[in-house]
Formats: sequence, C-alpha cells, structure tokens
Amino acid sequence: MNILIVDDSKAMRMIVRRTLREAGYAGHELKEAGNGVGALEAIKSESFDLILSDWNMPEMSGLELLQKLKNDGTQVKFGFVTSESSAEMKVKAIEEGALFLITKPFTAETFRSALQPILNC
Amino acid sequence: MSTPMQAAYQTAVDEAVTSLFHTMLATDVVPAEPKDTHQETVTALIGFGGNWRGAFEFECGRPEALVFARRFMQAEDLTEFNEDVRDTVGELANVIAGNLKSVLPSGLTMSAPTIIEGKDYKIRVCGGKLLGSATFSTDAGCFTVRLIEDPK
Repeated sequence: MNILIVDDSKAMRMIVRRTLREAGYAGHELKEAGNGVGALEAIKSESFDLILSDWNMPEMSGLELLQKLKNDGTQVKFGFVTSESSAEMKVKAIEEGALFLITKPFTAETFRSALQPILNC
Repeated sequence: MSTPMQAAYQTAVDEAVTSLFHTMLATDVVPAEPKDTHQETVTALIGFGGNWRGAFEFECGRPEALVFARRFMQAEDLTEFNEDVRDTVGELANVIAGNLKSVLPSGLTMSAPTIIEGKDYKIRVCGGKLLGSATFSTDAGCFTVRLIEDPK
C-alpha cells in the first residue's frame, strides 16, 4: 500500500511516519510532500492508496488539495492529520469527502482506530 | 477577575500543553512562575484572522528548544540548534494554537508559524490585549505561552 504524508513541517512528517510504524503499518510504502502543490506533483507521477494531510499549509492547504482531487475525479482515500479541532472543520472535512480527521497530538492507537476500517488491516 | 473567555482559554491551554508534551515528547509539565532569564530565546508566533484577530506565542530558551526537538523527533543525534529545532518549536505552537480554536470564536484562520530568535527582545502586537499567559516547567526547563487579542 502506498501512503502519501502531506505536512509543511518536516518534524511532523517524521512523527507521522513513526506513528504509522508504531500503529502496525511499517510494511507500507510511505512518501512525503510539503504542501498541497507538492502532493499534486507526487500524485501525477504515481498512484496512492491513502493521503494523510495536514490542513493548514502554505501555497495549497489540505482542504484545497482535497477539493482539487475531487474536482479532477482522482479516486484516493483521504484523511486529515491536523492541529485544528473545531467542530466546523470536522463537518467541512467529512462534507468534502475526507474519511477521518485525526487531531494532533495523536497516538499510535488514534491512527489504528482511524486507519483500520479503511485499510482493512 | 478573568472573563469567561480568559477562564476557558486557561483551561484549554493547560489541557493542550499537557496532552502535547505527554503524548508526543514523553515529558511531564507543571505550571510554574515566569522567569526573566535574559538567555537566548526562541519564539514561535501564530496569527489568528477572520472572525477573531490575535496571536499565540510559544517561547522558550534555545537550550530547552533543542531538548524539546530531540524528544519530539526522537533524534538523539540532534545536538545543534538548526532548522529541525525551529520547525519543532513552530509545530509545538501550531498544535497548541490549533487546539485553542475550540474555545475561540468560529470562522478563524491560522497563519503558519513565524520564528523569532534573539536575546532580550519583546514582541508586541500593536493594540493587542494579553488574554492569558502561562509558564510551564519540565525536566528540560521552562516555556511560556501567551494568547493576545487584537481588538481592532
């Protein structure tokens, strides 16, 4: 399984990688992008089974990325990993097609709970 | 006397800071008295816009920032103050500020973190009103967080 981690913080991308390993997803292929624009470039060159994206990023936010993918007809599972935890954002994320919204700070168990139903592993 | 918003902020910041440091740095935090150390300091500043305007600050000494980054990234080989440390301080501020959105008015946008470094500097949000300030102590040293409202 090919997973794309999108976050403007290198430290946070590293922590998401580590948490995925701790949650039992060590065997998956993990790629990274620093914002929505970088994610779109990565998606042009290879297909992904899941995108884990921050919300608030420079150039193109996670929400703009999700909307762009939807408008382009790109079929990919999408979840947010974000520090912003307001109820309105959760509603907006689901309305736009995100499967889940993980709030920072998170644990391996948080990832397992969010990913297990959609990755079936 | 604190306003309801200040009281809600204080509770939210305590919870956000404790949860973040416990979960992602394996570090316990306790409330502490602010110290004026005059040491080399690093501050991450997050701006709020939209239906409520203001700023959130996370401030600590450079040595503390280095330890926090080492723990956050689980990078024992991180021994110099570099971009990874600045990135970590910015992300710590980002996570706490993001968690605070639940007690701030809806319809807010958050800026990316701005990092400020130096010695004996003060940050002023022009016309800004300090809504809350809290200092926390850890085994690696102290840090302070502040929420400032821009009533303009």
